Amino acid sequence: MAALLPRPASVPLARPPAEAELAVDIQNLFGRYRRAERDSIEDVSLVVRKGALLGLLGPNGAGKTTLLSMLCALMRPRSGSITVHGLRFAEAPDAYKDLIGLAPQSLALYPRLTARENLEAFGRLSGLSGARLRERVAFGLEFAGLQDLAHRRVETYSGGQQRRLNLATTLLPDPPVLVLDEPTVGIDPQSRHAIHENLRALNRAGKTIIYTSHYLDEVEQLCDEIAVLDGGRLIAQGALGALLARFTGNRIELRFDPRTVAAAADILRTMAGVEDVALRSPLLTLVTDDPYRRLPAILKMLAHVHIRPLSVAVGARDLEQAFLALTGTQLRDGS
Amino acid sequence: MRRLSQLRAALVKETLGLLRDKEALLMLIVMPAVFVLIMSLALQDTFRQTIPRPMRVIFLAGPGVGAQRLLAALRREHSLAVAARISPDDRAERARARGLVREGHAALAVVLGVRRHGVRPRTAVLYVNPALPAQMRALGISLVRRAFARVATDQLASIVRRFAPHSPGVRPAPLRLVVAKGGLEGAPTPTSAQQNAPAWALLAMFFLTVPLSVAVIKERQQGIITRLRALPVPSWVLLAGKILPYFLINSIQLLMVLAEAMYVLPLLGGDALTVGHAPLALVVVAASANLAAIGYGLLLATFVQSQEQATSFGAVSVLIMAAIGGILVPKMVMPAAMQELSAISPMSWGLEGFQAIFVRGDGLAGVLPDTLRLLGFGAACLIVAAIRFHRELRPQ
Ligand SMILES: Nc1ncnc2c1ncn2[C@@H]1O[C@H](COP(=O)(O)OP(=O)(O)OP(=O)(O)O)[C@@H](O)[C@H]1O
Ligand SMILES: [Mg+2]
Repeated sequence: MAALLPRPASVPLARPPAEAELAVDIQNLFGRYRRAERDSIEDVSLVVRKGALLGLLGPNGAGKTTLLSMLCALMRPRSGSITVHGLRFAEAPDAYKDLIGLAPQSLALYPRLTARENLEAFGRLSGLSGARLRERVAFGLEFAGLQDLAHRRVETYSGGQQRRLNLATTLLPDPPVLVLDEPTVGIDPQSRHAIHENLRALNRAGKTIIYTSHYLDEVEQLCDEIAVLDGGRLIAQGALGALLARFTGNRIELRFDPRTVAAAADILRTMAGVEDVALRSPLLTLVTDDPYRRLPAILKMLAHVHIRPLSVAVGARDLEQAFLALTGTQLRDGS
Repeated sequence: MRRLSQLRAALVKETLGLLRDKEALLMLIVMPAVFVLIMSLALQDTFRQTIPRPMRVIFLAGPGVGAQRLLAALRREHSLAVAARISPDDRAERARARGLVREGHAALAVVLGVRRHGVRPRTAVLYVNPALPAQMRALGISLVRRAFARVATDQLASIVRRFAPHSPGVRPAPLRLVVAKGGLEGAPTPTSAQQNAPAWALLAMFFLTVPLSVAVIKERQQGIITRLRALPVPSWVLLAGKILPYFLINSIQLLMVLAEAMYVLPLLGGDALTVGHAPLALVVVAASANLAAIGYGLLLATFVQSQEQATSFGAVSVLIMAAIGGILVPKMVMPAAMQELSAISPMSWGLEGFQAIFVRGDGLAGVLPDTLRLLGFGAACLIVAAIRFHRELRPQ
């Protein structure tokens, strides 16, 4: 199995999972939209253990939704293989779909129907009926915190309420694998917290969850494992802590007065031991071979030209930084 | 079991969605109801214009008491202007009367004592001008019938009085009136209500194209289609869910419009709609037109990409079909070439079907060709739509 995880940037799990423990096994996946000139997913291999809570990260257009679309059999891979609980889509389409619950990135609710009617409709379409359907609809309303609004049309809900219902609808048939594409966009921190609690409980109860989000703090709190997509390629996968140490341990971040930051960058580029200088006014991020050993020399050099950093940080600060280090882009503007 | 439950869900969500779509209901139910009233009243006189009043009737009979009585009874009808010719049975005379009627010099001809195969001498034949508007045709026939009935009643009364004052069972051999069919060609024309009621009902039926395709587009633009595609539900279930609610709403609409034209229109001073005597044929034509409309709507829905396209393509194509098909402008006022062109419009097939029943009094056999055309068109649209819908739902 170890051979199946040869990503250059991947941090190996403590123990390679056995076949039967895999919820999702994606191998050498390529995917291209019709009439597109290039692949939106290029040679992605990704395994997800049963019971994992995986955060799938990547800047806009990285291919997250595309990858999930192929996982959910909405899009045909150009090549490569996907199995979910050991099953391929082509072997048993309905059984395969029964394994996965997808919460689409865009809202997937009938606006003219009430919450209850939506849950009932999608519940039945998922194959539920009778007492089981009633029980799951009640669960869904509770999960979304919409018991009191169950008889109001969805179009009268706030954005956050709609999001919560969108997620609850996905949980209805109780599939073992949940694929959640940015399920908390537009939800206030309180509701988001409640949703996280619920997701953790589901995860503890054995659900495998794949979760994409643009909120890195959210992923950091929620997920125990991370995969990072960029430009259609998987550039990192592994436990959160290990990723942070690996990708931000060699970094120094300096904050300057915006008027001096460019000059500082020019000077530091010439220094020995500084492998890379990234300028994002007023921040300068240096990649060095040994941050703690190089820092005094860096400060001395700057003092020499009368430039003084406003603040200095060494090593892993948060996922945001790791992400920046990995992809060279920020996940969201203004963060 | 699973499919049945899924089908139920598909039906319920589409039905609720449609019932809560105010714009759709306005277009599908209110629009035809209003249009039928307005247009039937507005065009009432146009449809009556060709009718001379009172109707000219030729009365042709041999000498005899019966003929005299009949002539007197006919002359008592103020709406009939009777020109009588009493002469021994004469073939040439009869042919001349028929010719006058056929060419429109007279509306009706009552010919007594015709001797021909299968017709007894005590039978009268009524010839009707084929170009007579249906309303007048019906009126003329019923007035002549009334005159005949009056003579028969008088005879009966006198017989009863004279011979058997206490036995109501005695009756004379009735004088039979046969409305001639053979030899007279040309289609009767519809009344204003017979044109407008089915025309606007059909237009509204086809207008479902707009809300239907908008609903499909909305599903596609929101994540709904993504969720549906990720669920283990076949495309035919979802498609079937879209057909039935629209079928029902169209059927309700048609019933409402017909009832309105039959019962409300006369209250407002219009001529009531007469719908013929073939309910089964009516159901068959209505269902075929309904399926044709839904098929077209679904087909369009699989082609358009945005709500704007759905609205404009939907409305424009339906209006063109309506204009060509004699819906917006009655076919009888079109020049011959346009009348021929109208045969390409499915809405014209529907209108022809309805009018065959209403105006000509046709039954199932009479509406078969138009029904088959409608069903063929609907089925072709549905098949293409189903294929395209299936392609859209399966993994891309
Ligand atoms: N329907 C489509 N047709 C053609 N190209 C597409 C289509 N959808 C997405 N793409 C392209 O595929 C790439 C990946 O898009 P994708 O939606 O998977 O990104 P994402 O990681 O989900 O981004 P976001 O964070 O914005 O949701 C992008 O370059 C995008 O332009
Ligand atoms: Mg996305």
